[in-house]
Amino acid sequence: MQSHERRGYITSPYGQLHFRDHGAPNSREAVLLLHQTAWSSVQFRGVQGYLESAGVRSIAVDTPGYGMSDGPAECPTIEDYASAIAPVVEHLDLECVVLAGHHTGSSIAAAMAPNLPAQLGGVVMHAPSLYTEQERRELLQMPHFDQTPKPDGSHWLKRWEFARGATAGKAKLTSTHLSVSMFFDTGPTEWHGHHAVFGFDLESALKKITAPVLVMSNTGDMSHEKTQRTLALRPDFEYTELDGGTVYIVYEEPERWAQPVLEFTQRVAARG
Amino acid sequence: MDSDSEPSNVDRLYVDGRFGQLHVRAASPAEATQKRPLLCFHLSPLSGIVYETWLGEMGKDRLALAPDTPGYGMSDPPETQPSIGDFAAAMGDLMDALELTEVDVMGYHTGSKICVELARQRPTQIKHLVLVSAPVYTDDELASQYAQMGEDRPPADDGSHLLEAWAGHWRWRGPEQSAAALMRIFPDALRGGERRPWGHRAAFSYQHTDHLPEVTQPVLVINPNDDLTAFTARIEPYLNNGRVVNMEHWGHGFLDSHPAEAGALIREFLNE
Repeated sequence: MQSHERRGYITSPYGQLHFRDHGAPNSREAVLLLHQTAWSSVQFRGVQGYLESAGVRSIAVDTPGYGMSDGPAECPTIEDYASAIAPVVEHLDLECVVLAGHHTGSSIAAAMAPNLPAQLGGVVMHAPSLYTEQERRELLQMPHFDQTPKPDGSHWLKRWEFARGATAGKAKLTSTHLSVSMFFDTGPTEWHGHHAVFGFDLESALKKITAPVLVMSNTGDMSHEKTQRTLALRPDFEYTELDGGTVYIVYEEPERWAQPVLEFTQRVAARG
Repeated sequence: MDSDSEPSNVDRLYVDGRFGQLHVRAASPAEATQKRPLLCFHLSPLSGIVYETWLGEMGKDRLALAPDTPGYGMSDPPETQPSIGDFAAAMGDLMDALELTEVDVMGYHTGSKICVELARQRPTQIKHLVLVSAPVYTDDELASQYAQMGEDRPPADDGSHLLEAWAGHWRWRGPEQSAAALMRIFPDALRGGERRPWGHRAAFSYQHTDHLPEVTQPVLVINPNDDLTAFTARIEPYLNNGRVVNMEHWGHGFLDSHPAEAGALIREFLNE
């Protein structure tokens, strides 16, 4: 699929914030795409091409500290991420935005929603991480992956085997390769995004959202079961479930993932 | 070692070129300078990330730029296998976009060939060339280099492709290149997929022996202790207006470990 990507930077509290922009540059309506940890905006390359072909502008942002965006030295909060990313909306002069987050991106979208009262058209959250207080405390205590480089390269192999195991070997080798290389490219602060999620009061944020929301999940995602908690909390949210897939579904099956996002965006636009 | 610190004061930007967007790292002094800008071209299959510390050094007294070669880092790729001439023309696009009328150029391995070709394409605009390695190969050596680096190594289910790539970089890491410094640049060597060998293929199709004798601008060849040392030792007869300095105590990563020492050597040459 032919697409025309324009990449750029804006200034953020942590340095520079990197984004990928697809679609009509003069459109003031767009989907703002927020990736999982420890990926980057490249996760949405196929999705952005699909949305562009449907006439929808999209902007995928590298979360601070990931991809090409500068990050803080200390672990930020989800609210910090949201505050750093929100200026993209003003920079690109957008008047109607659908926030679409995947995993960590879902939490960031929930935190951003109150920051965009005038521009927010809707929110898409794939596998929002609604943990119990005890789960969050336990997750925050988990040790970080040891990135210490070894002469024999075993640090790479260890992470490769972890990534293959996490998808039960079902993920494509190319997406596993991308995941592992981005994990080390992010460096020793790769855990920041997850810790920010574990420290975030998503439940309170979900309760406050008044805009239309589409929750998504895929049955092959390790967070699939937890996604149901969000639906129990907010039964008024729309829900789309995709069969199978992996935690890399956005990258591996972009059209299947983007189709419900597109339809939701069109419904939001029709409501005005 | 005069520095092993993280790079600083380096901004990133995009400019438009014939293959799409060129991603560029840049550093410059706070106040305007009369010194010519320095353009730095990287080795394959990496990116301008190898110059981040170096830009901080040279950006103290001039505009210093390190573009990602088309298809590497964050620069858009050509649609088909490019030549060194294509890469050089894209760097000419960068000069035009930034309205740089006269520049000095520096190139590392593949980048050294981009320097030579750019000097041929724009003989009045390129004033000095700094070549980090300038290999001269026999036919058999060239075939061997191509066999080692001119082919794609797709991801393997057991992760062995990562171990092989790491082993190649670890074997040739510089005497003062820390494992952490190697890890900072190595993930960029894993990008590009099937296009990853294009830089090496272009380089192996362009011989210094054919083109360097045509260059009349001053040339400084730095021959550090790395994988091209023996081949670069043969370059002197092909220099029309240049000299070779052998730096046995430098290897890969010397721009990170010895920026001030390298800066003194190169500033002296550029000021001639």
